[in-house]
Amino acid sequence: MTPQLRLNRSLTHEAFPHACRPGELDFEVVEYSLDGESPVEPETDGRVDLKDYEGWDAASLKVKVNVSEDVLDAVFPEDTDYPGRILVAGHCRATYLRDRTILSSSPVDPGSHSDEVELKVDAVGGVVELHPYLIRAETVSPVADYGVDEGVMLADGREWTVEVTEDDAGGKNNLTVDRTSFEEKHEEDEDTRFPSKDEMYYLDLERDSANPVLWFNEDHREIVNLIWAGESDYDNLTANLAWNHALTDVWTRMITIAAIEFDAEDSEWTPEWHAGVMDEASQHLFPEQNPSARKAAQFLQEELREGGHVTATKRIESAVQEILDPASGFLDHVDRIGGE
Amino acid sequence: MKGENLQRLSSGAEELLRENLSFMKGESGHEYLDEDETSDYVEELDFVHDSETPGDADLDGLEEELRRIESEYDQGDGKMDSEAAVAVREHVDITRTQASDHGIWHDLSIRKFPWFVRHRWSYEGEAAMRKKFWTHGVALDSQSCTFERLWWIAEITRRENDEDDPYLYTRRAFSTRRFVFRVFDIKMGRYMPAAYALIEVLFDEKDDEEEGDEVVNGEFVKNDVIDEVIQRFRKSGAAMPYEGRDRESLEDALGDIRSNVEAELADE
Repeated sequence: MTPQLRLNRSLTHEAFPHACRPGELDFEVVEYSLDGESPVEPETDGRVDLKDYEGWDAASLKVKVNVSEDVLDAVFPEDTDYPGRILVAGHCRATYLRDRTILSSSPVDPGSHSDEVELKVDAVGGVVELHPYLIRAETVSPVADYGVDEGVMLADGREWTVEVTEDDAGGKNNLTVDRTSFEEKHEEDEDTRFPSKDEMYYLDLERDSANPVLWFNEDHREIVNLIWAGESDYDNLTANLAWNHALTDVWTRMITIAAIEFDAEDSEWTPEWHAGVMDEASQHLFPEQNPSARKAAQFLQEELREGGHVTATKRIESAVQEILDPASGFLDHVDRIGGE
Repeated sequence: MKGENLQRLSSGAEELLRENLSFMKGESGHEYLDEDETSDYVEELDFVHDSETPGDADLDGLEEELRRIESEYDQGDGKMDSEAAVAVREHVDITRTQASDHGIWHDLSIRKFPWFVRHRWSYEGEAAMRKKFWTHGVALDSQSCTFERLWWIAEITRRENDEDDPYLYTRRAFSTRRFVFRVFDIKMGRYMPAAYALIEVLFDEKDDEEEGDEVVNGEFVKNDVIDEVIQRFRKSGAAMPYEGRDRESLEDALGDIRSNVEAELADE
């Protein structure tokens, strides 16, 4: 089966051999209310920001999913009384939470379906992602080209994020940063995976591909001192440049690997840092489509595979610059030197 | 007293582990880090001093339990996880949001009970040992520090409303390292109905007449069955979001997968 990926059209992909309409549910958080106070509409499309509120116990989000007759007709072999289920799944990474709210159950009618999603302050932190699905609710005997098993996904929609608290910056990084002497590594073991002592840094994916480490080379003592123990503003500005320089390569490699190794048929990212990298990069890679991390990984993989090397690498180059903003780093540095 | 002694270590404290092999191995005179070194990183927690906020910890009780476990199991014996997880979850009774602060678990692993970390894990190199003291990633089994791993997997598998034995599934989950590694290192295990269904289908209870292990009463299927069932279940998850289904439906699907896998392995 040829992949049906089209960046400018609705997104059907090869993971779903059955009739499926990814991205075609309209989903929104209509309003939210804290501890029963009067409801507020979200200021930004796709995002609810609760970070500035304090002292609440429960947030109630009114969610609405709209499904068209056209979609229902396309994904169910039945002509009427569609045996489906519409739900909104919620994930919170910080508290290892996965849960769902069911908006409508068999039969599913075309039109809009609403319900409340309740978030308890004791059970969530950082960011909660909300993802709408239409699934099949009962198994029937096979009908060609249709998904007929209970639970099979028939359509989904764009994710919303709920920002509960500032995302914890410590601990669960996608990348460990460390330092060592590359020269010593070579003295200890001539077959070492570490590059030569002249190099400044090394993104280590060989020791444990699930746990990347960015090594700075202690043979360049001044650079390592700047990054770990810079004292003046000038030190910090320069450390920023060194940091940015290394991270440009790191991001480029990590985005490329995450895209190439992405497996659309597996529900999990393996290793999980791929998800973190794509979460961050997806909107920068495809600003117009603003796809989910999974879809971004898949688009980029297709593009790299199908000969779009120039476009794909240009996309990565731009995304990395948007994430790191090296121009500002250099301008700050130039300003500072000019001011001395 | 509420939350007595529960504190956190701020980030940066992982530097204390760097090339500190004598501490990680627990050599004589290096069992604990110097207080002078750690004091800069120790931080108090708001909630333990506030009677309005839930969250409580009994570290004396926890220490007593951990000492008992230490005396009953050999060094490096993974079977102690079943009991240790229950002990940690019971004595550190805080909310999920509070527990999402890694600093609490780093403090328990590095500063309060480093002897337990060393008793649980045999030293197999610096990088591997550092992960047992300091959380390196979201994978609960392989990348989380010792106390974070135990608390969270217990939290995910316990059944709060089961008056008879709320930790039956916790102990069963921990009875085989392979299961914990396959299920809780990835997002699949975080949907509780899926975690329960996996334990229900892959763990065989013993009949009453048989002499069973008191703690878990039964055992998991063989590792190759665990591996293959979970692999197929993961593949199905891309086309069937787990949240669309409840526990019974997931158990049915998993039961079918298990039968197929066992039949295929028997043919080989």
